[in-house]
Amino acid sequence: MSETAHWRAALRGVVHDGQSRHIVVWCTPLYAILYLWAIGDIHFHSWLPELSVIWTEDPVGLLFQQRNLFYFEGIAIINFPIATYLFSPTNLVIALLLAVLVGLNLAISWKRIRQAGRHRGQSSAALLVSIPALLAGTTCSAPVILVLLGIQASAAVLAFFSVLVPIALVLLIGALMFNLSHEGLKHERSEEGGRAEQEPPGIHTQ
Amino acid sequence: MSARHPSIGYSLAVLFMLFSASQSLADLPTRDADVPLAYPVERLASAAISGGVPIDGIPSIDEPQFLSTEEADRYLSPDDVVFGVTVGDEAKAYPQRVLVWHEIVNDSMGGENISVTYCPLTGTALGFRRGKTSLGVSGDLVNSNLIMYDRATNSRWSQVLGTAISGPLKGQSLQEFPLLWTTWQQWKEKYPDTKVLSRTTGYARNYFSDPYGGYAPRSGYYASGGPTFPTLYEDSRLEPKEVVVGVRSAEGAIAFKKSALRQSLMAHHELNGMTFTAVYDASLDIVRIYLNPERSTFKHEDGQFYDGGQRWPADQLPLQALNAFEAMWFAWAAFYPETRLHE
Repeated sequence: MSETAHWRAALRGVVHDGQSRHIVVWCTPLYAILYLWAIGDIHFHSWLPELSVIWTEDPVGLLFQQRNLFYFEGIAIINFPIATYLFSPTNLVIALLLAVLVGLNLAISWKRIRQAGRHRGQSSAALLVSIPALLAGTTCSAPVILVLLGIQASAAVLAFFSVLVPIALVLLIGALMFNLSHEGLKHERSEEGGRAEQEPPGIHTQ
Repeated sequence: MSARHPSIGYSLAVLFMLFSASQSLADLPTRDADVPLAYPVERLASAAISGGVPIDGIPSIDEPQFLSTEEADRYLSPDDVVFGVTVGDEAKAYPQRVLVWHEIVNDSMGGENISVTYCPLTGTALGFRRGKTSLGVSGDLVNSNLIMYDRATNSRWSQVLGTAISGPLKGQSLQEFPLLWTTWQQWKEKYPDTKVLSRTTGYARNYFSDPYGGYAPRSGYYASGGPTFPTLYEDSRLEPKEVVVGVRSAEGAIAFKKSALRQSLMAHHELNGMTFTAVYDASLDIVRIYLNPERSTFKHEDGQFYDGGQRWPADQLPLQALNAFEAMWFAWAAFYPETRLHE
């Protein structure tokens, strides 16, 4: 079976597994909101303005205008009752891409941990495989962590933040490919084992 | 260019350079006498570091729009910090809650092009004349202070010094004008017909949120702790974020502790044979500093200053007014390590 076939098989496994599917469905929007809050596009507040949208004067011109590496200008201000959203389609696409990758990685890691629980000898290996996905997700949460801990950023940390998104993308894609390959290979072996059990005795040829 | 006439080419090159330089200076008016510096500009340039944003990553407001006092009241609170400018009968207020996201507003008043600049990290607000060009945020910092750039020559200007530390205009100083750090309530009481910078800036920002903290009351970065970025000098005579009002002159640099002047209302400081007189202007909660070569004395009575003959409001003492500005102590001391401090 080719590598791509392994990945498709693994993704089918995630989609068909109820718990894994729920992790992806819930994790994706939650992580996207967390990311947008961490970069300052979403502000939560206690007052209750009316729902409103205020467009900038040149939304097309601002669409790909960078404020920093992988961080783009907003084109509209959307006021919700408990939050203000500085709507940047480009930042939203990045947030959703990261969120989907995190969700898939978590779903596959959780599936492996659950399966390792049934086979105790493999539990440690399953946790190790799940770590890259979790670490990759935390790189995007680093600004949030600094805020929660009240740590003032140094120039070196701020410079590092500017490359967090591409680092996270590389780690998440790499972890996903690794996890999908393992899941796909395991799926192939389980299918081969199933076919071997189904063949009646006496059919084996030399 | 013929090898037999190298001098023609050389002359043309020199003329072109002189023409370009004169055009640049016409684009950006500079002072006749440069601002006194404690370091060579090369030292300051070598100490510049990235603040974590690229050039224009913090976009200046280049086409500002303005509101009336009544319209501004809908989005400003009485204690909101504003930076006020007056030219003749015209008054404008630039709210800190807007400038914290842009740091520079390129505007015009009285028929003259100006730049209103604010650095959140050093708590400094200064006004400069900008001629035909405009100023932008370079993204770099020195002593944790904003380094501006001009769009005519791409020279880099320290905001506190108003002096170019690199580029074609290195060593030149911008012409300043007074920019008053006060509150919305106090400013509109003094200038009821003032115009106020609008939140319609062309950019999507949450102008009800300050990424660093707050000023009413002081909180977050503005209230405590040290500078976020390294500085050339540290002085522990005051807490790093203590607000001082500073002035620099040929005689040297002096900083007056603002909280002390709120109590004493007036202070004199001798420096190299010159007397500097600082008075507290309660109408705007600011400190005004004057040159007082005659060592004139004043008493404070009923909100005005009395010299035994006449009464003077704080902004009209019969002395030469200097362009003083507020700063966090750590920043003032970093730029002027030899500064006198009047507590």
